Amino acid sequence: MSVTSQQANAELTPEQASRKRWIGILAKAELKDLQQHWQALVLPAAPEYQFIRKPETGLTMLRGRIGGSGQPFNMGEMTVTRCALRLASGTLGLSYIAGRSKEHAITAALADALLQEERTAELLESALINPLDEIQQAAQAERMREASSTKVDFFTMVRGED
Amino acid sequence: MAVLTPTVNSNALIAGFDDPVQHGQQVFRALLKAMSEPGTLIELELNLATPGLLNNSTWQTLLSLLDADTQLWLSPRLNSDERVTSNLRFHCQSPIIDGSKAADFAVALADELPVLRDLNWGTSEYPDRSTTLIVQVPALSDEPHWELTGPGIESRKTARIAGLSEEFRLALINSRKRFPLGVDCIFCCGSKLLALPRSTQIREMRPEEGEA
Repeated sequence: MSVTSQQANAELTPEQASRKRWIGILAKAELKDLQQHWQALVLPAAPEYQFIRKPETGLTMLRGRIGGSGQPFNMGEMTVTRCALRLASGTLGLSYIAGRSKEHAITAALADALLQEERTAELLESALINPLDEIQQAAQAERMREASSTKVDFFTMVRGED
Repeated sequence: MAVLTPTVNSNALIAGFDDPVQHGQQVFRALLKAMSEPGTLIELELNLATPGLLNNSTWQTLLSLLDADTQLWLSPRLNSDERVTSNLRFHCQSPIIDGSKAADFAVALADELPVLRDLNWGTSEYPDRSTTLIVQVPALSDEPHWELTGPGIESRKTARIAGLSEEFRLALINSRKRFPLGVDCIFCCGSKLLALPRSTQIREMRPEEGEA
């Protein structure tokens, strides 16, 4: 399900594109997978941070377009938790996640901040983002496999004309 | 629909209320007291880090009153201070507008006040749809400079609000003739604030009256 606005992908710098990717992966990760990989991380130092916006839960309106190109309509509201924090170094981490898990929002914001730090970016990319991405892709492939097993091909019989 | 995307500089962001619900209510309660007892000096209990040119009481007032549905006008120096605009956009989500006429809230430094006429005074049908003016002043006290009377004041009160121009003071005093239309004001200084709703009558006292 894509909830990005139409121009979202238009003019992103490479940094913005990769940040968008990891923010998406962090947001879509299952809490238990995220926790498991997060706790396994060996960081150079425990990150110190200050909340800019403590995790807060609210509703946001989802907008859709029929067929992806029709007029926008309000599809319904979903629960979102968001969080913003700043590392001692000054880097700001943000997160918007579905649901009401504050723990998920804090971990995702912290990971976002650490991924922007040169010192920790590579470690998090390889030990957190990539494994989570693989889990998500495997789950997606599994869903598609299940769906395609019940796929029906419609075709029109061509009557013999000759 | 061409909507200019307002920018937020993430480097400028600071923390808002530590506990948004509790502290927001606490400050709202203080503002309610200030408005219902005009001329009373209120001291806010919380001490927050403030963005740029804003002081403690202005910042807390804005954090508790503004949201995405309130149009905000800022005086020129505040509007050009990225720390102020970024934090207000981030924490309050208020649209910052150019014309003061449409503003629900106007925030100004004492030396760059908007012309009172250019704010929204409400309409006879809906006097409540007026602008609330929040002014950050250099000093606030209850020294006898203005004599205040009206609803919420038992007999009379005195107040001195520093840094207001002659033109603004006269305009504010004269605006009472158009009641129920008018502009409600909140004056902020440090952690203190004082409100003058439109129902409060103001009289400038002569210097010798202060002695008595």
